[in-house]
Amino acid sequence: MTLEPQPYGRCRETIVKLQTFLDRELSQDEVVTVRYHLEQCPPCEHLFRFEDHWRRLIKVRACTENAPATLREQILAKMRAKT
Amino acid sequence: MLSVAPIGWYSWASNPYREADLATLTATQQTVFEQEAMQHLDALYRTALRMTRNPQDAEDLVQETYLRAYRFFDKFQPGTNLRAWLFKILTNSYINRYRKQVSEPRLDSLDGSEEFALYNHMDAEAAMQGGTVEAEVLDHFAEEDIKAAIEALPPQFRMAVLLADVEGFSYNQIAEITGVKKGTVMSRLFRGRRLLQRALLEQARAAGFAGGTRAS
Repeated sequence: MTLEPQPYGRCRETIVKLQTFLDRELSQDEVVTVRYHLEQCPPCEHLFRFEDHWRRLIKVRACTENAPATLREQILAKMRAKT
Repeated sequence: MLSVAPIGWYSWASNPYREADLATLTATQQTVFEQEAMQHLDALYRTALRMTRNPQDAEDLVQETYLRAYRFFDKFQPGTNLRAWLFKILTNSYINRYRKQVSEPRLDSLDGSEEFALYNHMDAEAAMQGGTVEAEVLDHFAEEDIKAAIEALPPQFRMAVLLADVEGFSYNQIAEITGVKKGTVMSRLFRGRRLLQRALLEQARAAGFAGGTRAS
């Protein structure tokens, strides 16, 4: 799929902001500009949705382990022993 | 933006000779520490586990982090982000223990922001020409595969990805936690995410549940 230049569109400028947009690090004005383009441009919208899905996947599946119950007790015991 | 800790705190946190100067915590401080800091145990542990790749080493690292944080708790500024402060101590402890693995060939050769711009630009080119696979493909990835792919990332990229994508820290917080410029954080994140994506998608193609890039 090749992105055609859109009439409203600024595919390149939008994609350059993909990471900072999804990381919520863009200014409010920039967010509005990106959102506006995504509404006009299905290929860009697809790409952003993919990346957003990716981030959520990593968040829920990358680190699922909880600390062993004994670790909390060990730490508290050592801290108390030091005082 | 929250500041993580007073500037220069790492100089005393990593210096064992200063221990003798430290004041003992008051009973109130101890209670506050136990109530507030211990809430972050699971988050610190899972990060430690991905960084050390081994449960026993992860426990040791987390224990060291807490004992160090406890020892220096009187230096913590109330009102600043305790969670970020703890992650900063975890990161420093990790770097001290695994210095060899961390000091790989220079990964941050260019100035961070410059490099980020370059990669981002290349990404835009690739995305405009290549297309992408369907988002639903991602749901097929098993936890074990994702964990293994993360653990295969170079440590500095791995830490950035974990802090951003799992723990939800901002660029500025990650810069403060890892002690590098914001531009370097952005570049590490960008490259780490790309490496991770590439590894997992290649694996998915080999397993046959993701096609190539979509046809134009």
